[in-house]
Amino acid sequence: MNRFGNMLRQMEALADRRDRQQLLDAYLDSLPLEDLAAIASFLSPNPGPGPFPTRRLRTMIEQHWGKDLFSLSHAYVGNLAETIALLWPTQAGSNRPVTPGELAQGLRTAGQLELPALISQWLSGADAAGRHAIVRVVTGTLRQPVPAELLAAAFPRKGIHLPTRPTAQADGTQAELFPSGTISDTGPGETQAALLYVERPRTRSQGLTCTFGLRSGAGFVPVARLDARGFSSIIEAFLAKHTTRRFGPTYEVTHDARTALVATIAFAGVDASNRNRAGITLRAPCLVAVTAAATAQDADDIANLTSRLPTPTPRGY
Amino acid sequence: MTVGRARDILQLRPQGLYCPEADAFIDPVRKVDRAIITHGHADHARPGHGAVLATPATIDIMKTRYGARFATTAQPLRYGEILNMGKARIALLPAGHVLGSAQVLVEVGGARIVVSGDYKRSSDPTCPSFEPVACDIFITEATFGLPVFRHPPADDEVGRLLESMRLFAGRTHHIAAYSLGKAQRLIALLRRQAYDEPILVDRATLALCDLYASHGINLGDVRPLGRAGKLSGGLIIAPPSARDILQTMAGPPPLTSFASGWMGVAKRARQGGGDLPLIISDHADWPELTRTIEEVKPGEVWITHGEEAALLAWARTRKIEARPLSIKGYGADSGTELE
Repeated sequence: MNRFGNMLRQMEALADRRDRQQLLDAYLDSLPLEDLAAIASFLSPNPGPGPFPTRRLRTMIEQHWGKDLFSLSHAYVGNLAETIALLWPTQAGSNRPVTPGELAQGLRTAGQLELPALISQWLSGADAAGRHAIVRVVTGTLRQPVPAELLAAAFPRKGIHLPTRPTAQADGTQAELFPSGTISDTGPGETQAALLYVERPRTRSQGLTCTFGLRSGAGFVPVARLDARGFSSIIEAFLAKHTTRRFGPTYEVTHDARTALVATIAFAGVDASNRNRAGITLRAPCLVAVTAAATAQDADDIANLTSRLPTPTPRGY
Repeated sequence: MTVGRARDILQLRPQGLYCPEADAFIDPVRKVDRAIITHGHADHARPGHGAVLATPATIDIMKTRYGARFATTAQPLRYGEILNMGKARIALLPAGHVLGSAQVLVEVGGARIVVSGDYKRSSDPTCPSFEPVACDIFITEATFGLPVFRHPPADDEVGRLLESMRLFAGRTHHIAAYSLGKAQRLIALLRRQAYDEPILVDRATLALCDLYASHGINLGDVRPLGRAGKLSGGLIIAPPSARDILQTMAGPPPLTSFASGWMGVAKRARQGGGDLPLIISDHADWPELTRTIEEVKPGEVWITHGEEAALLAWARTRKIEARPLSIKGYGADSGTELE
């Protein structure tokens, strides 16, 4: 995970898209198959929640350093996962750094009781960039660290269809290659969703982050938050005319009966989720097309997606 | 108690730390009659003082940067030699920060205070290692005084640079590094990892590389950047401002890299780490700061320029007497960007 962490660290720093692509390609080329499959699952645009809550790691590290040192550190660093990674105590030479394949397998097979010790051991054996990557993977906070378009260009070359292009996954290779199981029971599809919010990036390496939603009753529920690289000029133009409110870097835009920006979002599957207001999550959502000449009625109703879910099995049977 | 008497050895004045017994300031931020200089960085070593006392290397560095008349008189004092100034006994001890860098030990009537200046404990092929010395009061810097700062081995970071040069072969790598200390340490580390290509540097850095060479630190083939003309791979070490000039030169666009301890925190790396942020620092990180305080075992620690709050909290838990000492002017401009 050290090399993965360092790749992410440099990915964020590189200004030029071609340089980022070259970095990603070289990194993937160097990986053995089992690590490649694990990395594909970590980088999947919608990896789902991690098995370990961030707050438990926070408690562990806060106990180690004490409240004062922890809170001073957190205030300085700003990001919780990064603070945990930077503060995690290491024992030089005590552990061999965990590989992505080992980590993915550990997460798949370890019981809830074994997890804290296992994660602790992984963290103690990694360097700072590796620890940051581990924390983000195990807590499910590694959100699209690599732009979808770079992944889409890199993985097919390796014979892997990362589910950023849902239509390309009919060949069935994923079932073997994705340890966390990126094949959804519901299968791939598309939906029309309205743009609700836009967030400006902090760095040149990210595009605008857009939150899209589907109709639900009289309003909208958010279903996907996506990097809108490739569509930024259309979205910028829409923002300029149709911003209704602004909260720091986040803009709320019009989505009513007369005006809306509607996007076609392709996905690999739909899962039930009680973490989201929509009640579902899209697997590997991907922005396919955007039109600014639309209205709220052009967006799909959430019922179109919830109806795709299998009938829930009653618990405790 | 000698700690009580040690408290009277130094006073904080607008010009900086003043020792009445020696009638001299340590690293004054304004022009004074008599100055003791810990090291050659511009925020510590300013031109225009009357008499300057420093290590021979620091005096050479000040001459190189400010010209032969950087002070009215300059007196070299070797590491470990003792000089009597009034009732004060003064000694300079290695600080491990850059070539010539020193801690200042001031002893008056058996009470001792040590001003660390800037220091580090990790290995550096370009200067002697920090020497902990017993004292009543230890004045430590705290540039990286938060437990999130644990600098990785500099050799690992240089390895990342070499890997980037292999991956982006044919692309010039421009490293923005402080012209005194960081640049020479980087070059020495690269040479240690068998990188023997010529390295291009700006004029100010070149003058200091020559000075390092005259002090026995071989940096290999270092050439002036001036007439490079066209970019075609290789390594350039020059201040951040060189970036604009490099962008206009013919050839594949250069990759920019910043080498600084701040690069360990993502937020800071985003603010100015370039394409390849390298975590290489000439300042003590958190483990080095706390280890040093434990080794020196002073009666009292005074904590200056940097992140004092965390170190103060740590000292409290260890039952070590500690207090902040706010000296204005150090690291104010260089500390945030490049140390």
